Amino acid sequence: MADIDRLIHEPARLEIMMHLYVVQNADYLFLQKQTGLTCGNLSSHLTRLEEAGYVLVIKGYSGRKPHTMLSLTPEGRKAFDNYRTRLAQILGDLPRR
Amino acid sequence: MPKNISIENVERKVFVSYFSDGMWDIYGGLILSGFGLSILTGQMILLIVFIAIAMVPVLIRKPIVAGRLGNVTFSIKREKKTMKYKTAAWIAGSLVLVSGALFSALYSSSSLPAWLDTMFENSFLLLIGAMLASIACIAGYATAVRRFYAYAVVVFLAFGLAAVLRPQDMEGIPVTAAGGLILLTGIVILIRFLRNNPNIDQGADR
Repeated sequence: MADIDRLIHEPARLEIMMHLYVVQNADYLFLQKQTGLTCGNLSSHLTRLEEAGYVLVIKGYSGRKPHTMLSLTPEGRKAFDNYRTRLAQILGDLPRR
Repeated sequence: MPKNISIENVERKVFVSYFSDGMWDIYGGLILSGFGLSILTGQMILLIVFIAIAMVPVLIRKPIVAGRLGNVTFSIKREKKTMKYKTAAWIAGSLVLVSGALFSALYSSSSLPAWLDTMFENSFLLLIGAMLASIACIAGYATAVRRFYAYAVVVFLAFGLAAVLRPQDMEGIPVTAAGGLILLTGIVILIRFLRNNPNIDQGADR
């Protein structure tokens, strides 16, 4: 368990990573709708993922309104693949009762 | 365990959510209603008017959906798959139009042998129904939206009934009714979508 990526393991961040994993890119509203997270909650988790280099955040404007586009970086995609593999290994090794 | 974190399910859920607005249902329902009404009244202009009206939900769909669900670019694999099915649906749609035009031209020329004339008259509506149902099936398969399969059944049954009612000159009724049913379903889905997804001000972006 020690080598599991705890940054991804947190449920809200796992949800964010999963949704970004299945698309090329998405905007902030999309992620908020799909994950059901509040604005502040989503922002703080995205900041942590961005700092870790897992998520690319591009801030721009759509007309005169701010518009944030998000995507997984290659490192983020690799980290998520590793997380899935590792978690499957750990839980797959458990004996059935 | 890996099945519990089902990436495929997440992808499917996200993709299906982009068809929960009912606009395509309204589009299909309007065209089918127009087709039925034009048969019923003998006024082909009605079909053209309904096709023109049906373009409205298609044109306003993107800003309405994106303003409520956000913008997303799906995976390359999904985009390719969607393009493949869109092409298939367009080909099937074009076949319906071409066969319809061909039938009208042949039928009005009265130069067909009697047996071919009878065969056309008996099976034309079924053929059109089967083609339209196959378009609905392609749409259902491409979008993973199950109600499109139900529409395929409704359309095929409506055209089957139309073929039966043809001798009484009432073939337009089941087609119009099927179109109305799909249109009504689309309107209900749209109202529910608008109610469940209020337009969030993008200024609230982080």
